Parts: sequence; C-alpha cells; structure tokens
Amino acid sequence: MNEIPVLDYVVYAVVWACIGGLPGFYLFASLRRNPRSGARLGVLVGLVVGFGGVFTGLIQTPQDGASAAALVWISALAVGLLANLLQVGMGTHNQTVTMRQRTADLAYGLLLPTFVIVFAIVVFPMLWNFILAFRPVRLRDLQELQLFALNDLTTANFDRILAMRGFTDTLIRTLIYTLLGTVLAILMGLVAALIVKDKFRGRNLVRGFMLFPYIAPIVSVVLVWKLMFNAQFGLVNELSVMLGGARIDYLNTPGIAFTMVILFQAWRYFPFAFLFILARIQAIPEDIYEAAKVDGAAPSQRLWYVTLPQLRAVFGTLFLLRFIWTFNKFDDVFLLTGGAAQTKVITIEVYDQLFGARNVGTASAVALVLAAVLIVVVAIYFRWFLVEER
Amino acid sequence: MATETQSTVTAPAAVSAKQWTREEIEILLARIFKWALIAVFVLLTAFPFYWMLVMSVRDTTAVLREPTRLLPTLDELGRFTQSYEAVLDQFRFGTFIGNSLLVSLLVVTLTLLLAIPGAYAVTRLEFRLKNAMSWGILLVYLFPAIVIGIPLFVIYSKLGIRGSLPGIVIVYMSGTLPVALYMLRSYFQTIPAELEEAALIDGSGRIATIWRIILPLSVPAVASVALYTFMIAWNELLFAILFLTDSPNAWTLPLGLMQLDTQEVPRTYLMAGSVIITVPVIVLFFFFERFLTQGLTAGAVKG
Repeated sequence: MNEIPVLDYVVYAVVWACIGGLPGFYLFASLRRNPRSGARLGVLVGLVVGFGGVFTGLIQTPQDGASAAALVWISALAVGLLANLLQVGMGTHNQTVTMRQRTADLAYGLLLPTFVIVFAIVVFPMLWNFILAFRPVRLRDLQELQLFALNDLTTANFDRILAMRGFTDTLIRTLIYTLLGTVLAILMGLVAALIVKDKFRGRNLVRGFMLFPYIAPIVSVVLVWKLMFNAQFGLVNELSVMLGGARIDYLNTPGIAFTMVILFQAWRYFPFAFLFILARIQAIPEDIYEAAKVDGAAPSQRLWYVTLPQLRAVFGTLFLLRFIWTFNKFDDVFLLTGGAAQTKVITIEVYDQLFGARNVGTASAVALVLAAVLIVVVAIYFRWFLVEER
Repeated sequence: MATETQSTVTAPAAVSAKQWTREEIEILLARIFKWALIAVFVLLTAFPFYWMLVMSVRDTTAVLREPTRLLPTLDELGRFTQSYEAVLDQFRFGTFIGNSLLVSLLVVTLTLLLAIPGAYAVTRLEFRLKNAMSWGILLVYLFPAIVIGIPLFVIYSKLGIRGSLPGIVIVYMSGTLPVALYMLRSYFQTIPAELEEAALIDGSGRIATIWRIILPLSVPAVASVALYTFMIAWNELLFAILFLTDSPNAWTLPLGLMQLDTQEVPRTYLMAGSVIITVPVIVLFFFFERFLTQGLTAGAVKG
C-alpha cells in the first residue's frame, strides 16, 4: 500500500454504509421504531466496522468482502438491538412519526432490495466504466489491480481505438445493420399483423407460430440457420442447386453474410413488432371503417388512410425500442458469424478487445463509444420526432 | 382455396351479368394475397423448428447422401433416442439442464418476491422519490448489457464469484426486476383501491393486504411475469459467456450448446441439443399462451 487510492475510500465508504444501513432500517421497522434513525445508526456502524476492519488488517483483499459484509451486518443488528434496549437512538428516535412518513418508509422498505440490486449491478458498473475506459488495465494483471485507483488515468485506450483499422467501418456498419434490421422487423410485423387480424380457421395456431422465432433460445435458432445455410449440405443450397442456382457460402461470403445477419434480425424480432401492431389494430374502432366505407373508400384506401395513420404512434415506439435493443445486441451476430466476413458490429468489437486482445481498458473504451453513439442517435430521434409532432 | 379459383375462372362470364366493383375486386385480391402470405409466414416461422427436429435424428452420412429429404426414414425414427442419449451422456447436458433449471427458477422466485412488494409501493404508496423511481426503472432496461458487462467482469473476478451460479442469478435479476416491476405496476393500477382500503380500515397491515387481496387478484399478471422471467433466464447467453466460460461445471444450457458448436461434433448432436433447449420454452408457451402474449405486450419485454 504505497499510495492511498482516494476513490477506493469513497467507494468502500458507500459500500459499508449501505451494508450497515439496510439491516438497521429493517430492524427498526420491525421493532416499530423509526426506520430512518435505524438506517442512520446502521450507516454509522457500517463505516466504523468497515474501516476499522481495513485499518486493523482484518479486511485485506476483496475476497474478504463476504466475511466483512457479514461482520458489518451482525454488528449493525447488534448495535441496533442494544440501542433499542437502552431506549436511545439517532435524533428522531423518540419523536412521533407522521402518517405520511410512515407510508413513505414502508415504500422505501419495499423497494430497497430492488434498488440495491439495480444500483450495484447496473448503475454503478455503468459509472465505473467511465473510469475504466481511461485506465491501462489488461486481463492478465486483474489480480493485482487496484480497483478504484485514479492515479494512472490515460487516454491510451482511445488512442488505440483511433489507430484501429476499420473502427469507423464497424461504426457505420453497426448503424446500417441496426437501421435495416429494425425497419425490416417492423415491416414484417406489420404484414403479419394484417394477415391475422381477421378471424379464420386455425388463426390461433398461425399466431402461435408467428411468435416462435422470438421466444426460442437464440443459440438453437442460430444453429438451425447455420445448418440450413451451410455451404456443403445446407437445405437452401441443395434446393437452389436443384433449381439450377449456384452454391453459395451464405454466412462466410462478405456482403452476403451481412445481408444474412440483417435478415436474421428481421426474422427473429418481427414477432415483437407483430404483437404490438396487432394489439393496436384490434383496438381501432369498427365505426371508423364503416364511415370510410360509406364515403366510398376501397379496402386498399381504408388500409392506407385509416389503418396506417392509426399505427403511427406504435411505429414510433417500436422503432425506438427495437433500434436501441438491436444496437446493443451482441449474441445474434456473435453466434452467426463471430464478426467474420465483414459483419463485425461494435458489440463484437468490445468482446474482441476483452478476450481477443485481452485488454480490459480498451474494451471499456469501445463500450463507452457505443453508449455515446447510442445516446446521440436517440437524442436526434427525439428531436426529430418532437419537431414532427408539433 | 378452391372456391376462389372457381370464382376467378367464372369472372369474365359474370361481367356481362354483373359489373364488378373496385370493392369486390380488391377484397378478392386481398384474400388471395392473405392466404399466400399466411403460407409464407407459417413456412418461415415453423419450418426451421421442424427442420431442427428432423436433423436431430438423421446422422451426418445419411444427410450427406440425401440432403433434401424432408422426412426421416422409419429406420431413423426408430433410433431417434440415440443422438439424445449421446448428448445427455457424452456432452454433460444433464449438468447443464440442472444448472439452467436452478438459475431460472431462482431468478423467477426472487424476482417475484422483490417485484410484487416493489410494484405495490410504486402504485399505491406516496413518497418523494416515486416518480424518479418509476422513470429510473424504465431507463434501466434500455442500458446496453455489454457496457455493464466489463466492469462487472472485473469486480466479479476480484471478488472470486465469477464462476458461481448465485453471482449470475443476481445479474439476471438486475435485468428482470425493472421489467417485472413495470408489468406488475401497470396491472396493479387496474385494481380498484377501494378493495384494499376496506381491509386496511379493518386493521389489516399493508403486507397482509398485499398477500390476501392484491395477490389473488393478480394471478394472470404474476403468471406472465413468471413466464417471461423464466424465458429470459433460460435463454440468456451474453453474461453466461462473460462469467461462466472458465467454469465448465457451472455452464448453463445455452453456453453448453454454444461450446458444442465445433467442427468435430456431428450436426445431429447439435440439433438434438437445440431441441432439448427449445422444447421447454415452446411447451410453456403453448400452455400459457394467453398470459405470455399479454405479458409480452404489457411489459415490452427486452430481446
């Protein structure tokens, strides 16, 4: 321990405080005391025990974390119980609690576990990724890594990205893939919804089939696609050869492979669009159609002038959701081509940096670029969409 | 179909007797189009799964001999257990099924346990951070998984819990909790508050009210949350790759199946593995289709 990593202390303080505060809150709540004072007491105990453990050497490596947490937990409970026995507390302990605060306390109590999990697994890593992207971290020196040090910040990771061959291509490809995949999936969903909207025999079965690509595990559907489009004995190739066509290695030929990746997106995710559009179509009141019919609108005109305008809002939502999810998607392309044959998208680049180049810092930097591009695109979309609405 | 062809054929004769309106012609065309498209869509969506089944019983040499054979021979059907047994014994699919079941059921139980009270709080109770929390929930599930993946990978490695199943259960929960909360919230909002107010006046506590009044009324919503949570955990791959690849004993089904995809393993086994992983989802889907469809639209499930 040569230099004191400041951030370490901040992060640990937060962690100890949370670990101590949680049982404090629930203990006081169950004893019908003011949970807020219990939380406050617990936070204090957590900080004292946690940092006490670090300074006395009881807690040294992060692997001691579990036992340290248990220690903090037990101390917080013990101190809480003791405080209750002695009828002392933190500040508001003996004050009367208003009904309003009691309701709010109950709400916090019910939501705290969810909040802690989401914060620890989503929000905190997201923020920490910022710092990681500016640090020289490699996979092999993970064991010696000072988790939250701030003294080795560098822009080397971003320099490496800028020097990387084909990174701009990857970015542009990701945008094209996302845009086309999203639009095709929504169009397919629209067609599917239009053909099953009216009752017919076997409609439920057809509607069930429509959801198959979406609910089946990604690994198994990719394996079937790979088998069907196999160059040697794939069904598609065999059939096209029988019909006099050429044998094509669909998933390994540049250009064709990229088309396949986009078609796969459309095939796998159209059911999502289908469900939304179908629900909306079935909610369109029948009398609008009747009125259009009386005015002499033919079926194609009723589709164009009545149904489609009613679906505008759904298209907007679907486009936004699917765009974000497709942009973030990793497994589909990874399993189909692994990024070979000019199909590499930005999430694959993150993976390649992490496990191929074994460079954690650069991987975080690429991930940061991904998040930034996504935020910019969504911002543009909203701007455009809101202007359009006005 | 037969009636349509007939009417098309007789159409020219009918012209003299009766003028075809645009309405009638379009309806006829739309009907032909519709049935053609239904056939195309059924082929597109169902055939790959049929092909998965067929290829899981035909061995590689037979496939190379007759690659376009659409039905397996009776002989092949008779030996259909062979590839499944091989996958279960030789490739440890038994372990993977166990792991996947454990993880999925834990995720379902814990998600429901936390999301039901949480959703109740967000719908019924007044507190200062209410709006912030409701919006936060929605934002969380638009986050790129791969961005949080790297920091988590580092932290999990340091804590030494990277290859453990409880570790991955918590990660999955961070993904399922926000959506479960959101779905349950939109359902709870449809339950009239008067029902529980009566119980509250009678002196029943809030927790008891959730248990005795809200829960029995919310069976459909709870069922769809459970189903979709199960599906997410059962199908998840990215975090399984990131965290479990180095610990073969903790591999889940998707990861185990992915690792099988090498040149040496016969495609027959791959397809048998695919059938094993897909069947539970399809069976659940057919039994609970109503709940699932509701859930998928109500919660806008991530995928």
